[in-house]
Amino acid sequence: MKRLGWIALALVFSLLSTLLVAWPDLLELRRGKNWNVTRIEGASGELAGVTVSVDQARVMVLPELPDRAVLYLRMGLQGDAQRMRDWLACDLGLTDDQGRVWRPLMNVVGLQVIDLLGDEGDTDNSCDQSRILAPEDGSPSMSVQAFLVPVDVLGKLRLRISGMTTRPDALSLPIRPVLRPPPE
Amino acid sequence: MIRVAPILIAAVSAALLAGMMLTNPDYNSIVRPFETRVPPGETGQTRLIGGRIDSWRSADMITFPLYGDLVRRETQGVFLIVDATLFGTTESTMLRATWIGASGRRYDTTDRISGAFRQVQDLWLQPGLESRAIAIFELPADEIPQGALLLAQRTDPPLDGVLRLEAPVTAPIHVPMLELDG
Amino acid sequence: MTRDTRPSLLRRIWLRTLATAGIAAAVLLSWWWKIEEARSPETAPAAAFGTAVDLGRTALTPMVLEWQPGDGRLVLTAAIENLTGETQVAIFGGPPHPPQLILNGAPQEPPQIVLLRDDAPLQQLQPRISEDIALIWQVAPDWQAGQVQIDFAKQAFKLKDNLYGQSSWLGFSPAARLTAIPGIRP
Repeated sequence: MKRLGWIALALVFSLLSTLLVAWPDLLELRRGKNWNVTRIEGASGELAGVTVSVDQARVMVLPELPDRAVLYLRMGLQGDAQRMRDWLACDLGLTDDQGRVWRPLMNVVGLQVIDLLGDEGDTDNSCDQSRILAPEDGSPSMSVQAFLVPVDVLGKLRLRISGMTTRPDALSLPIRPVLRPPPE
Repeated sequence: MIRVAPILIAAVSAALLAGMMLTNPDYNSIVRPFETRVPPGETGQTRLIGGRIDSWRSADMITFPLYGDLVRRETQGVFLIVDATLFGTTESTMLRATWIGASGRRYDTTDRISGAFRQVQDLWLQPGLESRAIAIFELPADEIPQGALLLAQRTDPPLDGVLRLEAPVTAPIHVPMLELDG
Repeated sequence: MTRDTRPSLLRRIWLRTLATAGIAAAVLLSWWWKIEEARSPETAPAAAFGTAVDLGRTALTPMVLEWQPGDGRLVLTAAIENLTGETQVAIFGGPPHPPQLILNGAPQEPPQIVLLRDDAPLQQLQPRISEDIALIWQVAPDWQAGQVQIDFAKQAFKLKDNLYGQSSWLGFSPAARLTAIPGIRP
């Protein structure tokens, strides 16, 4: 009986030491993914003290490639400037109901899409720039991004956004893109 | 006689521990990508990347337009041009392509040819969308047969899936000069 | 009753162990210093034209050293070969330690390195494809051509490093020193 007790104690300690060694990795895993996504059906929602709003979503199907669409998204971040800086980095993407993620295009094509679908005098800030360069008057800090998505998911897309320090918490907002005709 | 058992136990444990130490794999062989091998001509898929080889060519010289000029590139080996159809699976992915030569040496896509002809290193794979891409390598001619095209994420994380598309069975068509034009 | 002046057995063993450990440490330390000395030679071996210098990832064979007073350029042409099994971008190591030109004892700015074939900058080196390159240093045009010194550095490779047991490229050490008088091409 006494021997059994020692064996049990050894097992408990080996489990505890495993947990101790794994602890930093578990914390990293918790921070590494959007585990807790809050779904909101309106056009804006709050995440870690910052209000995220979808301002404009426009989409265009190019005649040469009818299976894909370019999407323009203007969104705003509003809140305390320090809290926006505390996010450290934006993590955003468009998601569909199958869990697929489309990331913003960070290349020449992305800039062309923003030129094509954006407004005159639009900002050219990315999400990270809008986080740091918030306007003094407290109005929403705008950013624009471009995406390339299949045509068949256009009705199901949602914006999922989180900050490096807000994870595991993330926010999911619906996108209702307006179709624009291709240029002549 | 009573002392034999503990000595035996100690000897066996020492032998076991030594065996574990000697057969312990090193870091480089533990932390490796998960490779999906795809036979010639077939379509394969790994966690983030899917695709197939459509055709391949080789050339001694490549010309391409750059800022209005026509640039000509030659090589001491040969240029291998692989045409592939690729698609994204669950997340937008940027790629890095490597040719695994017949000798096992690894050739990255060449930096000596740049411009917008859908080179695989410029491509951004999107979920649910197929894209055609070309990969250009500079290598000795005997590395081409029995080689393979290896597709990995641009940042090449150590424990993720990579796609290994085996070389087609038929030899590539060789041209002295290949003109790439946008 | 006589007083025992000899120290106790335990104390004697302790003293002797301490003395032995001290001597052993001194011997090991001086031996290690000798090894260190042999590992990092103070003076690099002399390099010669036509003989390959091992730089770690690559091997460089100096061919011709030329002074072009018209352009103010000192040009070393060389053949370079990849010694690893994969395409190299860190041709002169990481962080890069390209050959160092020393004029009158003063180190100069790093050279511009181009392929002789088409004057494109050298960015990659493919395995089994040797490339002819030119290393170009800008030197003040009024420089009087004399003896110059070019130092080559080699980066050390370790198959199992001490941190994770993974293969790593570690520190640099002098690999060779080329001392030559450049030929003059007007």
